[in-house]
Amino acid sequence: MASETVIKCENICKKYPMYSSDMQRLKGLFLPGFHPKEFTALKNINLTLKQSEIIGMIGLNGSGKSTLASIIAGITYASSGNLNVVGEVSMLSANAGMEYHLTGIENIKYKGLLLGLSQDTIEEIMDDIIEFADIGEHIYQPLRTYSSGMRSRLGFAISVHMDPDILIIDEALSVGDNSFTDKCLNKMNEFKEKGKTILFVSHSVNQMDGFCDKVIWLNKGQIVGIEEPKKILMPYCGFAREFNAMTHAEREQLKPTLKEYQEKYL
Amino acid sequence: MLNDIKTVLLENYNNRSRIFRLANYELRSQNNGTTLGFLWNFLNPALQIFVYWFVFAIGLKVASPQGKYPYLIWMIVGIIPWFYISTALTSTASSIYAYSGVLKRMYIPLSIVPVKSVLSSLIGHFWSMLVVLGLIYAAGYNFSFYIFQTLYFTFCSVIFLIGYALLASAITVIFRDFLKIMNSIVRLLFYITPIVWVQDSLPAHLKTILKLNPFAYIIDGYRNSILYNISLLESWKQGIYFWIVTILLFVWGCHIHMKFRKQFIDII
Repeated sequence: MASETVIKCENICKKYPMYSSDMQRLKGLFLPGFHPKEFTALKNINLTLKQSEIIGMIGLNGSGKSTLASIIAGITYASSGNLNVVGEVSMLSANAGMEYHLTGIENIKYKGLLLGLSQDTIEEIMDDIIEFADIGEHIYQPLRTYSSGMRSRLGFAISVHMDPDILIIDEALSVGDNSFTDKCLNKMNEFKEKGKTILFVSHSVNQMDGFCDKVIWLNKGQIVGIEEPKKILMPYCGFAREFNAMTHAEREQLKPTLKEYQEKYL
Repeated sequence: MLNDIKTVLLENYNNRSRIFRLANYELRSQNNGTTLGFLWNFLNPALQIFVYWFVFAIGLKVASPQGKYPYLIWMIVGIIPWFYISTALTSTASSIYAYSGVLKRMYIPLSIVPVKSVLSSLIGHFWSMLVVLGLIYAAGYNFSFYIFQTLYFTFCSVIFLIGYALLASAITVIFRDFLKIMNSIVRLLFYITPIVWVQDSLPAHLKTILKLNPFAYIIDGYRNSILYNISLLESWKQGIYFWIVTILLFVWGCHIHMKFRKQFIDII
């Protein structure tokens, strides 16, 4: 059981058409010969996740992390390639599916419903969610009166009480203050102990270090390397620092390899 | 083509309780934040009915309908289903587009979104109908067994609207101007459907053309069932025509929805 493959990506590519106007978008959909400029977000991604593996994903902004995460979550589709997912996937998101007019309690019911929970399940986890969110009396107030921190705490508390086989966390852990982040990390560790497969997208190298079994480094839609955290996080940080110091032209030319940066920074 | 229909039907069947609860939330959140809340579902239509009654019956002195009923009751029985149909015609068109925030972050079977929108209008309609039937009864009129035909005509409207919703929501994602176009069409339909003015005195060929409007079948059906005790079998020709149009629309709606669904999330 433990080594069963739960996610398998084969040659996944994702291209977004770049229409310069709404008229072009219409043409693109209805005229067979019309091809707009395309932006390649992912290029030949091959990836295998086994059950109970915790995989981190790092990369600069625009490297394709979120796109890959949403493809695996079934929210969007790959342009080409094969994706095989065994089990129920859930993407953890703090702010999606929250209604400003509804109260905290109603939002728990509403978001639970969007996430596909039954009424009984929602009733069951209600108290846990309220306790986890820990926003006191505000839970009976409409969401529009919340501070952004409170909103995220509630949203996160709801998604974290799901029970999927595969959990995707897309930069969702940085929503609250430090004490809340600790609480979230504890919850993640609970998931880990239960043997869930987790795909963890984050910019926080520290969080990844202790938590993940392996880390994927994405750059411009391609995988630079997949390694255990110790062997990939430092080289990535070095790369990010160098990248900052580069000119635009140098950045365009750049094709980082894991080996090159491992030699430099390990 | 058949697979498209099967996918849509299965998705909706498997999520039936979810659709119903989502529709309830949608209805509730429309009036949330207002003090009178749910009452607005009745106040707004009541005000509109009063205005139409004043303009058409008092101001323009339109011809009275046949039978024992005054213009006001005749008009209410037609306009209540129209309120629900016209709301659904515009709200379902934007259903997928308006849900983009949720759809981009959560996996939700896409075909349930337009269906949920139809259902939410229908729930509101159900309550209005109860009120209207209560009022007519209170005004001293009785109903016959034919009133149960109303359920059939509601069913007709639901299937028509679901087919339309699947198609319209897909078009709106790609071509947003469709919403504006629909707004104008709905306004036009209001006057060519027998809702506020009695069409009995029109020349025969014009009446036939106006009967090609699928909503005329539904509105006339409501009146025949509630007011005039006329069997739905008497308009069987219009019925067959209605179902041909509806089934074609449904098949086309499923097809377009499935054809473009993989692109929805990237476009909205």
